[in-house]
Amino acid sequence: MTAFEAEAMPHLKRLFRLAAWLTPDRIGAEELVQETLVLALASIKQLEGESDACVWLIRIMYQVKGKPSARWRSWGKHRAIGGISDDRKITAVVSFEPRTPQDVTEEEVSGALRCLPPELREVILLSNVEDLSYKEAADVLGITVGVVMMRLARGRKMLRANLRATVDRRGNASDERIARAFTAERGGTNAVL
Amino acid sequence: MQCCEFREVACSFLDDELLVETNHEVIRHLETCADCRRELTARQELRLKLRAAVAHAPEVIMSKEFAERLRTHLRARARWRRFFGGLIKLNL
Repeated sequence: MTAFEAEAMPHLKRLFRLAAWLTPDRIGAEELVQETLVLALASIKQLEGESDACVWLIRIMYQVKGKPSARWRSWGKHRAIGGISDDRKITAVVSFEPRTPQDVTEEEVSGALRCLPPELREVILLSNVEDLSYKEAADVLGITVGVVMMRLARGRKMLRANLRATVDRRGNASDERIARAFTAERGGTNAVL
Repeated sequence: MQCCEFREVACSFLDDELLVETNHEVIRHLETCADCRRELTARQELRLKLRAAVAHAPEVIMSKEFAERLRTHLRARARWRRFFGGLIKLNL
């Protein structure tokens, strides 16, 4: 087994998971992972000075993603996966500190994450899911630690607000169902009477 | 520390990215405020759900075919690199 296989390949699943959230489709994710590993193979000597091979690979992935030729770059910079687009509009709405809803499902969390603007979603993925420190995330993204912190705060706030809205919608829908059932029941009783 | 200040730094507290003094202030506040303890637990739970949601999304499951194709491609690349590396050394 080569040094590359021993150091880089154990992180393949993690890399693919991140790529799948950073690109619009499966083909994009596969291309991004393949180009990342090809570049990593060519620069394997750099790995000697790195403390964490996965962070090194993620940094390379962002270099590849930033290439002007990368086809997934045309995927609108401010477009959220779920379709909500203008993050300024959303953050303007979320000026308060929303309470964290507790009774949410994984699907709802996943949906709320998809609705975030890409630049907020990626810091949450790097920090909360990939466990990168603020400094590591800043290095990967080529921004300052301060910007990472700001994006994290905005992203998390929006995520909580999205989830709160989802929970409220669910509650309202459930109330409406109960009201409809009650009305139907009463209507039925009246008809019998 | 007030509850509103705690809510601003609660996630950084969970990330272990706060200054030692701020960390102590947070801990002191949590000792006396049940509401903020609940909020912290909710954020911890949300974090776990977020990890699970990201890991279980159907599009993040890598196909075996792709993994195999990628390994073959990288091995071929590595062989070429060794071959050309050897040639360059011979010329030197």
